[in-house]
Amino acid sequence: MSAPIPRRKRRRSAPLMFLAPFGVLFAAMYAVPVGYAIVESLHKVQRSGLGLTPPKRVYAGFENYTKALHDDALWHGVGRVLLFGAVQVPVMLGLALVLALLLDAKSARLKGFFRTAYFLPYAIPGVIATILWAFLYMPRSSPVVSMLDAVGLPSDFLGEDAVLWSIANVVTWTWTGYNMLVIYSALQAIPQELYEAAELDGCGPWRTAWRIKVPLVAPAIALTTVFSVIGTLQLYTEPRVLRPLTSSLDADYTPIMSAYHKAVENNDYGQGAAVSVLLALGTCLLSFAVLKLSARLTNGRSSL
Amino acid sequence: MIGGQDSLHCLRPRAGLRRALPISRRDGHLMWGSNRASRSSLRAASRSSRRGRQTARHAAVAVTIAALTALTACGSDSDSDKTDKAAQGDKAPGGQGGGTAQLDFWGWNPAYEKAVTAFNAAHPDIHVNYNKVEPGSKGGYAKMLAAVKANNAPCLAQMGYETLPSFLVEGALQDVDKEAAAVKSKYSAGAWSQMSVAGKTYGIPVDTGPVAMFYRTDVFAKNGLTPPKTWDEFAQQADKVHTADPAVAYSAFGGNDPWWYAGMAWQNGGSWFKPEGDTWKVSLTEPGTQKVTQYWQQLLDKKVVSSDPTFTPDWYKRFGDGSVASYVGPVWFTALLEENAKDAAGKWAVAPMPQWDATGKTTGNIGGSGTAVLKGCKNTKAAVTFADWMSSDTASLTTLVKDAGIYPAATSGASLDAMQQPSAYFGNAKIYDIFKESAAQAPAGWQWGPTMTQVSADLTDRVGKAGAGNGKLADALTGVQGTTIKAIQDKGLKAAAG
Repeated sequence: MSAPIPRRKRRRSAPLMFLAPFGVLFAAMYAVPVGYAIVESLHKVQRSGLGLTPPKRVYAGFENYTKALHDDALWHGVGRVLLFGAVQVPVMLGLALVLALLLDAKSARLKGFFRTAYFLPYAIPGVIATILWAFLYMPRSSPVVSMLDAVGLPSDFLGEDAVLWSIANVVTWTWTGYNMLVIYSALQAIPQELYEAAELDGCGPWRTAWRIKVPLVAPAIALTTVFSVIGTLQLYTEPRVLRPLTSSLDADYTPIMSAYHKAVENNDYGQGAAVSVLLALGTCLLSFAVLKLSARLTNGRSSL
Repeated sequence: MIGGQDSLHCLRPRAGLRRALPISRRDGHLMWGSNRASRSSLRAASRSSRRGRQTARHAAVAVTIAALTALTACGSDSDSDKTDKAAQGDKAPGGQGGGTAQLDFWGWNPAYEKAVTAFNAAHPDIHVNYNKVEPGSKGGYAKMLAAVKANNAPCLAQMGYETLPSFLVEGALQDVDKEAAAVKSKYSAGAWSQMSVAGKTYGIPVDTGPVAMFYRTDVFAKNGLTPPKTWDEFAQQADKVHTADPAVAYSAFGGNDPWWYAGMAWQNGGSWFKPEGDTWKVSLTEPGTQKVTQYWQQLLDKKVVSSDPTFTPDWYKRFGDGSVASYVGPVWFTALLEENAKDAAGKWAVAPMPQWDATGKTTGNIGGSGTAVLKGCKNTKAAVTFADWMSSDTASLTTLVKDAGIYPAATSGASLDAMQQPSAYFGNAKIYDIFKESAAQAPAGWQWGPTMTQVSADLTDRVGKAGAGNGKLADALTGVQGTTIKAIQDKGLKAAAG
């Protein structure tokens, strides 16, 4: 007969037991792969001559990182997604905020329908969404292009200058509804008393929206901003799917495409891992900066 | 190489006689177009799609799974008892000692399965287990390389010719010079050389992609033309057709498809790569390629040929509506054309590839694959026996030709019944007669390099841009020459311009 487990000990092990399923999955699916990527980024494969003798994997120190930092194409990709984010994120979040405010307005009708309609694009996988849009972008198949042609507005959605914004359009279309829903939920949580008080003080709907609603949902906007910034830096699906359709999208058009290109297409996993680690660090820093900045803005505004 | 998704195109879809072979078109690219066969095979194989974040996630999961698999030392995807048998078989060479030699074989061609079944029935001493993996450039190659690293690779693997040197420099191939020497004479010299690097043979060729010229009979008749015998004539006809109707492009420049560009250069007998001593000599600007580059630049400048990205829905649309009047392409394009330009049935015909000089008799090759023997195979004799049987046995070839539409690398393939049949889509012409001739005329010296996925991606980017009017082809080729030498050197290998 086993001795009964002392009560205190049992109490201490219980949380661990409950954490175990998460812990195991987290370790196996997250921590281990991340660790593996970091280890891989510090190694390279050594070959010689024609490569007829078997290659050896050797420790490379920070060589992969140095190479990545000197890779012009990678920096161009980073610049491209930053430009993309600087334009697309404000446009998308502005739209999301306006839609959320409209849905939340007293005079709004058919709220359920519109909420679903705005959100629906998010339910469509990115690849499918991009393929759908691709058919509207392709010069010979697109009804939009032929209509614009007919009214004397020749357009090339997949051209060198336009393609980044064509991608931005797909991303905005997909994600606006999602962000709207986050902001809308925050709006729902605002106590009615505030509106009553505002009304008594003589606030119209515009002023209520601007002075009460927007400041109170600022934390939600900050959250969606951080998510969007992260998503921007990880831009991949849309350009990847459009790539075969146009000569404007290079193999290393965005940083993630570059990491993929290096790791899988060039079979240089060390280099690909180094780019991924750098990108993860950059994303961390940028998200942190955005959080800090928005925290400051939020505090400032709510103290008004 | 080894591409993942998009990449090495490795195996181009060679489609063939009757049905499209479901293969991934280009490395790294999403399969566009309405090729039903391709789609379904992709679905089945599910390699494709390169979907971004999801892909990254899948890749991470795949890595984890691969790691776990390696840890537990269980076999790849075959169930473990099969693997055990395979391991035992590997130790019992050639069925000696009463055992049956067990061989694992990974590939994505669905028709191989039938060939394997027939082989097993006819060979009691060797048993081949065929495992379907995703097409090479969609993950199949990555999986094979991972398996070699983990010491549980199959003996045999389906492999696009362009990918073979890449596998070699990853240390993933086993040479079979001794075992294969006896069967060499069954194959066309050009195809055989594709399974060799620096004088060593690493497998048996299965199929090739002989090139011919596809043309619209209605457009040609309207302009009073017959198919051009030479490239000069081709250029003159291009002017004529385009002048008569500016909406019609005489032909399609396939430059964003690197294998097409290579196929055009191939005709001139040179090669982009040459192993010399311990150095990879790289020459994307060799004289034969320069000839091709200058020639197509002229046509592009005059805008008499289309430069739309190839294998896209837009591109196929032109083949259906007659706004492109010809295409110089490989044998497997027949099936793609049939699938994607159904309305144009009876309007397309096939003629020999134009020649650089009127008396010339050389052609190019686009695509093709073989059965490679991977590192760690303990029974190379049985492996070669099977690979040779699948590539040269009449029953096997008939299956592969009928079901997968391959063009056999074995010289006996030309006399197969299936190769004598008229094609309904091409006005009941016996188009394979032209491809047979073309297959025999492709020069044998072409050698691929050790970083073809990189070469492919760079060519797609740069030649694609130049084709679209953004820069010159010659600069694009010079640029890729530079990036390729650097990429090979980055791998720790020796490379030089040559």
